[in-house]
Amino acid sequence: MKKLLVFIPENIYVKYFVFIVQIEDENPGETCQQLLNQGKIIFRGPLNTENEIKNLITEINPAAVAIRVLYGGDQFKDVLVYDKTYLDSLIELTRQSPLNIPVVIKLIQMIENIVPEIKIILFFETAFFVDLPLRERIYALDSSILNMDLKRYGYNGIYHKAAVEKTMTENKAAKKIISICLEPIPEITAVLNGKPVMVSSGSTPLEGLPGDTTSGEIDPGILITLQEKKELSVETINNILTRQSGLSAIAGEKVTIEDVFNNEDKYKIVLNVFIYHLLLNCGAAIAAMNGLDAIVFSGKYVDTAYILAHKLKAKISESGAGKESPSEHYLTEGLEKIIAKDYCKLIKTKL
Amino acid sequence: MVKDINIFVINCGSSSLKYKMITMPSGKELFGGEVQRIGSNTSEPSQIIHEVNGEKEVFLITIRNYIEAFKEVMNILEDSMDVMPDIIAHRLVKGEPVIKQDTLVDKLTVSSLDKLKELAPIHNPPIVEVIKSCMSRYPSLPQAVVLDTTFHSTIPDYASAYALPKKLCEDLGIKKYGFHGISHKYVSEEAAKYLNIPIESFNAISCHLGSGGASLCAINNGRSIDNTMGFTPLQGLVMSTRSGNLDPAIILRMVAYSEGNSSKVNNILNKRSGILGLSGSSSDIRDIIADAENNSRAQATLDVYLWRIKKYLGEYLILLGRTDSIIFTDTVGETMPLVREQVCKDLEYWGIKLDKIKNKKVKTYPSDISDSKSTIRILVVKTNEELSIARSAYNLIRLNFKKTTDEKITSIHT
Repeated sequence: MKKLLVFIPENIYVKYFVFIVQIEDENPGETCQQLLNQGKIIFRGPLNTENEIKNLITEINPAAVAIRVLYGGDQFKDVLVYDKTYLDSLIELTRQSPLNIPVVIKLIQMIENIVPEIKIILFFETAFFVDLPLRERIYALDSSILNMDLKRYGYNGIYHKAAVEKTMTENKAAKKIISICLEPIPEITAVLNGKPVMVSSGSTPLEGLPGDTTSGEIDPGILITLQEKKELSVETINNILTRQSGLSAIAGEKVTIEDVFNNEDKYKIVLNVFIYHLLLNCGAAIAAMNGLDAIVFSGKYVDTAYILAHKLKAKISESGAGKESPSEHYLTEGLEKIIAKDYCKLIKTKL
Repeated sequence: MVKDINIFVINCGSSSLKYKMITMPSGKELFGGEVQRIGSNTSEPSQIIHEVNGEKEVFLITIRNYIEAFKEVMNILEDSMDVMPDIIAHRLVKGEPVIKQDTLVDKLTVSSLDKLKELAPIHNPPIVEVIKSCMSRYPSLPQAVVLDTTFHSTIPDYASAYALPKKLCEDLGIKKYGFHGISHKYVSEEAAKYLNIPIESFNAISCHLGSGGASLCAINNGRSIDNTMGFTPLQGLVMSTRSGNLDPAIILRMVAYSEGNSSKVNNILNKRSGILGLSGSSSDIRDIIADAENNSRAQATLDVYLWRIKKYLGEYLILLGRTDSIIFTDTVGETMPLVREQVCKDLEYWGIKLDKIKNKKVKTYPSDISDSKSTIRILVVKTNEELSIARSAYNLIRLNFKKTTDEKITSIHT
């Protein structure tokens, strides 16, 4: 019996979860248990945070630590058992992911200082999308003018990968799958024969579907207009797009995707906008795969998917020239559980 | 009896200026032509193709901008034609909030004309400059502007709204306006007529693929319900020099990288991106197609261009539920079989099947290039924005005069 400590770093705090893993079990992923002691560590400053981490690790005494990393660029294509040789590559990612990567690096360094021998395993959200076809991956920009790495990555890869695996287990004939991750920043991807071929998010999670407070896709000309007409700074516009937009902006009050589905009458217009964008993306996904065998839902708001699935499938069937309705699937596990299960697979096969 | 008037239609695209002299109300075309490749980065020089009764004359002239294009065209007319216009009608890409409907230019002030430039920075400035050139060269000649957004006024609120704070949207008039409406309307009416389906129940996806700009339009019961362009003509497909859709965060990074110089970013997005940005060599997809076989960067450019069209096609196929027709139009849509073939490839899920032989042999318009087993008719329809503009301008003149059309026509002639 071993303990696994799972860290999910957000921008200013790190959530943690503890699991007990029975390594000797034939399938430890299914038998691993989540303990109740979970919480958040605020990244106020290195000293306080380090003490909190130290206390936590001393109390839990984990065999391994798993960290979810938002962005892995082209370098990190799979789960990674960390060692110091990867530090420079991680540092290089800071420019692309300036909020998440520094927190991850700091966390790794703190853990190494406290327990140098502990295994640290990194789970990259972008790894699932690293082999997206070039036609989907690149933007119509001249990279030599911009001197930037601007590619589409996708951002809920850990959820999507687990959701697709579950779907392929439940429906063995499913080759063309739409995976819809209903997180506060939602995302849809088309997965053909197990590989993603289209994804709604872009070089950041902001592109694509509107979220709780994120704008999703907008006309690029709008941003230029905001800067020129309102003389808003980049920081202010970023704040508007990430914290004051999305379904909340349409509702005129702070709402979540869950609120909107639970109060359909009150938020009818908001719901219409959300479903409209989701439907359009489903169309793009079907075009990318020339068909659809299954739809799978996951994420924090997966409970709303039962209503959503009905609405989407009805519309998809209307246009499908008599094709069979896709099977529907639900992944109800949280991100931390998915990571714990992936860790279990890893220790059985590689560690 | 209604007296005929000659309407000279000027249609400024993002890299071309098309013109036609049309007699209304009959709609008879007296002559026309196109100034191609105005000041753009392509492998071939600018030229004017002037056409009278099917006979073409080509003038190879270096044309740096739209004012020069307009002057050269009018010189040809004055030197060689015996018909001069009674009215000039312009296609205006975007007018709201300055102009909300088709209008006569004499009702506009110079300052309101200048305000129009900002609304569509790649299209409206040349149109406004051509209008002003026309005012100074022919001060007594009436001019009309016909909006490209009117057809899209039927897009529902849930499709036209951006998920941005309401106050910002209200203050700046931010919503999806859609563009190429004149063309989408014209070709959908022509396609419905060709398929013998009443326009009121006709569902189609119109693919306006120009050499400069391009957009798709979802048409439900003859009315636009969505367009790939948005608040500006920058959104949507990959175009000759326009980026199309981008992650909003990319634009913010570009502005930050340019130290807050948003006009520089605007210039990059509108004039140095798209096909030109991807290929690094040409802004014309026809050049890219010619190079693709032996040039991996050209092939990648073509792949991205086609992929974006295909994804939007999928979006609108789902949206419409039942689709009667996919329509290809404008320079690329009408003349590039490879584009049509690749866009329609691997869409059997919706019963779409293109006949490759028919597709390669399109000689007349409209032309049905679908396989007999295809559940959706795939048509190539030659757009005629100029005729559509002339019709709108003629109706505008009739509406603007309280008296009879005869009296109005008389007043124009005097």
